[in-house]
Amino acid sequence: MTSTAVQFYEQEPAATTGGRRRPISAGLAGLALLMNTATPAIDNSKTPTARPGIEQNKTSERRRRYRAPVEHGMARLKRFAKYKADWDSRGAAAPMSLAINAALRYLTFLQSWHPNPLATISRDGEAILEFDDNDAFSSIRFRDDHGLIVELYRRPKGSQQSLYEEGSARDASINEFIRDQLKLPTLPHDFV
Amino acid sequence: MTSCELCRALFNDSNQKNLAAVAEQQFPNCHCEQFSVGEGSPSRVHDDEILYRMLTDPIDLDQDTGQIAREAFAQAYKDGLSIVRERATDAEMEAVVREVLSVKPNKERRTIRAIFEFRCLTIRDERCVFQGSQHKAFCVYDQTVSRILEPNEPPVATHGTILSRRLFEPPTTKRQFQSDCNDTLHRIITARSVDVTTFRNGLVATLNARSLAGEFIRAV
Repeated sequence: MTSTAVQFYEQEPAATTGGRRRPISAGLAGLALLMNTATPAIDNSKTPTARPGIEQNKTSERRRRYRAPVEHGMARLKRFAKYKADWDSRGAAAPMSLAINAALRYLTFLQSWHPNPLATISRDGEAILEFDDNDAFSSIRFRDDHGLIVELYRRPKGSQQSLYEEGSARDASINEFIRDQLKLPTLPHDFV
Repeated sequence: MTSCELCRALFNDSNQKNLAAVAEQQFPNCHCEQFSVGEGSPSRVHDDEILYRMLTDPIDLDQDTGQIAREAFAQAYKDGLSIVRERATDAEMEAVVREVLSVKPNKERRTIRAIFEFRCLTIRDERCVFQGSQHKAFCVYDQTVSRILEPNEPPVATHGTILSRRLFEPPTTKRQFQSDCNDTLHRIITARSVDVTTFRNGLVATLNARSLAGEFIRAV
């Protein structure tokens, strides 16, 4: 942190004056005025050559850290999306592109306070996002059945009872379940 | 045919699809567990036996995070979830693993990425509620399977299978039941993992290396 601040101040003169000498004929009155005035504040974040400030660095680092599981999940799905039929030599179906794309898009809605997703596919070609938090297991499954079908599941830890909902991404009941039971981001109107 | 012979006929029919559903329909309540059903099997699977489940496909686990997908146990309500019995000799273990690692030409080569061990009784003790009372949720059989890499050799004797009994009723749907089944097996089976590199003195690790070298590619 300290070294960053030092670097910033060392750079400032060069960045602001360009290393040019001020003319001696600037005038004593002007010189006196400058000597009695505080250094003008420069909003370094707006100067074209400035480095990111400390807070900015922290924010990007934080964002990078919480986006990492999401990006990791996306990378997994993109890898699986390339699988062809019988990819496992045991008759697995090729992944459904509509389902993969839906899952990829849904991953982008997740925020730092949501559980880390495990992105995968089924051997029938569905895209699956699994969420394991301390209280329950939840999953969102996308499949192409003459259009995108979303399956939602939640089962509290240690319970035999589960909750389930299935339907088109446009169904109001789907978003209600996602919001009220899964506590995850809802699907926007243009999701399909 | 006796009940035992009928059970053996079902479990040795390599063309049988949806074995979990068919077994529950023809032999409900894990009826065939009382017999040894696998060709060449040394015995039925006893309650106190230790069993292994191996995972090979990247879709089933994330090695970066250590997460295991619930979906990895989906075969239990379809054609059966393959298991290996601890009583397998190293030669039998090698034969099973070679089969598991076998791939068709030009397909991605496989490796065993995770091994879990569990006691048979923990599966047999699992209960589900159906028509107002508690029932066994899963059956464990000593089903052996034909070899793909060496089709002329007899089936590996110490292979087994877990089948879900598929007991569910409205308002539970089939898909909800399947997710319940995956979640239950995930809880039981993944509780104890075994180090792949040291398992059986490095036997599986060696077979993984041989698989990556292209040794277990099927003829067709």
